[in-house]
Amino acid sequence: MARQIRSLIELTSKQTAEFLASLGDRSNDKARVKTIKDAMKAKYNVIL
Amino acid sequence: MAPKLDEKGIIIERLRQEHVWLLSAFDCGSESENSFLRQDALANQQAHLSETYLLMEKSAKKALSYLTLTFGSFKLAGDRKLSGTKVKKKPFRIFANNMPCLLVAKLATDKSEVGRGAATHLLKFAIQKAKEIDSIMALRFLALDAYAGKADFYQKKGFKIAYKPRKTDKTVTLYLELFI
Repeated sequence: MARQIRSLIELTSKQTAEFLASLGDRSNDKARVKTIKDAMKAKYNVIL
Repeated sequence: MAPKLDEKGIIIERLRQEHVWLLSAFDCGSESENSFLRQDALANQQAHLSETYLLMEKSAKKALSYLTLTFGSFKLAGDRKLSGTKVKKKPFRIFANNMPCLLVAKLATDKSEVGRGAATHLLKFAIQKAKEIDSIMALRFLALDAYAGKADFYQKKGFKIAYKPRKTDKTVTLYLELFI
């Protein structure tokens, strides 16, 4: 990560195709779902 | 190494002016992340451009790790040919060129605190924030650029590499789809 924030992730044609293809890849979905469920269970003391 | 951090033993505080004295002691080993926290994070927050959170132990006023969130977007190439891509569902049809995401712009841990789980807690917190946003305005992705050596950490948590990085890229773009 550079100091400057790259908020626009600009994809080339090839990268766009790879990104769109990755959307359909569900091979690691158990880990993803577990991560989200674990996160939603966590209770943090937050001061805003 | 100090023991793993427990949810009950930590506090997450939104960055405020009162924290500035803490920041000079923070050292994650990367000058860009250190400089961002010390010089840019509060100014960006005051300008409503990003939000930064510090993770601290309740027992000590020390920033162990920090997280900066902002909105981002995947900008798709306009000349893409969608036919032939192995995508089961194509929600991107409604977006001409951009797919919004919540961006983990910064996530760094003081090098003396690495291995205690601080970054994992802040990542969980980021997911909670992303789900909150998703519940009111629809958000599909939490995304970030990780140093190449750190990509495994995210992939084990279900993040996907957005596209194959070039040899010259120092970072890898990863994303987590937020729906269950």
